[in-house]
Amino acid sequence: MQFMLLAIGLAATVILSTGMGYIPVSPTQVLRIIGAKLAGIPGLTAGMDELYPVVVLDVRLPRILTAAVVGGGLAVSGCVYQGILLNPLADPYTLGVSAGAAFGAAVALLLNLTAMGTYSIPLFAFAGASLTLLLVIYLSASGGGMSSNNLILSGIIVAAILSAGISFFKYIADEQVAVIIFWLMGSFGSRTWNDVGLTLFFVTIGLVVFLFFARDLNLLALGDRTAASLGVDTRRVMIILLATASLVTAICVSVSGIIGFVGLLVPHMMRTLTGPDNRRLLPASLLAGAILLLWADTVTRAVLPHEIPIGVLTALIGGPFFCYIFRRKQMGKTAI
Amino acid sequence: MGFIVDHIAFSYPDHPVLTDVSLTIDPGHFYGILGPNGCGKSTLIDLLMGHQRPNSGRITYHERNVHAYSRRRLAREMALVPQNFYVNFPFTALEVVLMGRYPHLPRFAAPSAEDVAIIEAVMERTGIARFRNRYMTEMSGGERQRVIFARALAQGTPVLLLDEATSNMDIHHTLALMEIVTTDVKDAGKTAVSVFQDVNLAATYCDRLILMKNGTIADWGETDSVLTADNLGIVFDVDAHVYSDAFTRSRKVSFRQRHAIHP
Repeated sequence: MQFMLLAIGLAATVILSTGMGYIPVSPTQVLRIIGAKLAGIPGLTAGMDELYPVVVLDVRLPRILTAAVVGGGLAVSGCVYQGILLNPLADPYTLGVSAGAAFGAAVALLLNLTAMGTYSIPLFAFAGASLTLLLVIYLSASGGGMSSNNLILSGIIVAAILSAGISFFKYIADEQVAVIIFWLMGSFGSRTWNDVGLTLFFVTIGLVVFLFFARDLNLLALGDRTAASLGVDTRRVMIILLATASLVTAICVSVSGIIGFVGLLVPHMMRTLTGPDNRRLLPASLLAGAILLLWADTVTRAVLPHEIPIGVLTALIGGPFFCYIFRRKQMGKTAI
Repeated sequence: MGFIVDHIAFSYPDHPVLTDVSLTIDPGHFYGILGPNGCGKSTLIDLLMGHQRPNSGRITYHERNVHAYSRRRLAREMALVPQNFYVNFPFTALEVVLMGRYPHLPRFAAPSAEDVAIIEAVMERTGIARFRNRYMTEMSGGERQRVIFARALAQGTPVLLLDEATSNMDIHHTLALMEIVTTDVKDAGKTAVSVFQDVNLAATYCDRLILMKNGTIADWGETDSVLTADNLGIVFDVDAHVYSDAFTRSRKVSFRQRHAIHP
């Protein structure tokens, strides 16, 4: 039931937001254009401004779907990070994945690397994120296994070093500094269908892996000793889930820049709706994350007089909202 | 049958925990593990359940190395009630007890009518049925331990491993839990192995004791032969007086600090 509502909400959000913008297109026209393309009936768009299908299919939908998929990906990754690190305040960036991605992107921008065309920056961001994760896991692995405290601590240390590196790059960057800063703040501008396909592919793989291990993730909430006694191969499950969540995060960051608070807030909000059982929480977070980030992107794209970076917007809205629920939790001891 | 612990040693990278531990654990008995802090009691439990691997020696369960079993198979053989811990996510008591059935359920299966009957019976038996819908995050330490204990019972395993399972419980619930374990051991032939801080609690309920000190076994066997003033004096470095208590019809111990004798 909740999933139906969320799914309908997402579909409605996609249709509505596609119509919004400099050239308004009505929801029915949007549906006709999508229907004409999907069903292959050109007649459906008859009598419409010839510009509309181009605006909808080539300009808006790639951006909108990328935003939705990235939002869903960040939200499910957030769920998994919170579950593994036994910390409801963890998010996809806790282990320094964002700093790693930013570092990689900054290197590519600074050195003006365009060997791989438009994919240079995403590739470097992805490599940075992956290497950071490997380093963090290496640092935190002790003889017995990984403790969540060690992981968080290693993440903070590595992120601090990388941040200093990024600051240094900005300092020596000269005219490239604006590009670096702009990339770091995140944007869905000029996304293509390739971006949609890439993110959708990896987020789908991630979701399948997460759902497969969702029950084990529930058991990890009781501590790794108890989880082991209930039949979970804790070390293996933790590594698989961490690697997958980081992969999904790295892909999301590499196409959109750094967008905070979605991975932290959405699992929080959904937990009050579905409870902490990851088998329900994960799909609900996926849908809610998609809706949330899509609306945020639509606000900055079509509502505000000037487009502001999406990462700034989510932090400006998400930060105070997070303060609110955190405070409410402290005061009322509500179970979040 | 049961466990055979054969000359095991275990150490963390820079400090040894267990050195040369050997013992057998027979089905149908309630074993109590006693010893000073940091002597390796919990580590021994971890090794029995296969959560840690010994550096040398081997532990067999039903004549097979513990590590030859899959994790899932072991979870159907032995359940663990760990030391007190926090649960950071608002699972309800019911959800946690249901987790005890996971090792018996395929990954994507919903609990069957039989599973539901089992968890209802367990919650009734442990007296937690009335807070089934309360959140783990909002319970006291003792209540949380009772839920975790119920979850271990719901696992329906022949072996029950308890690591200070009653550390946060009041005396009423401590005795109730001990009675449940003793009943399962005597009537259903289960095996229980429990780490205790309270020597008298172990003396009352366990028919066999394992005394540990500095990562070795100081003595083990029938409670009546192991629980002596000499043994307790050696292991805990206190003066002990062991007597037969008519009220509980069991052995009891009282302690006194041992004062160093200066020459």
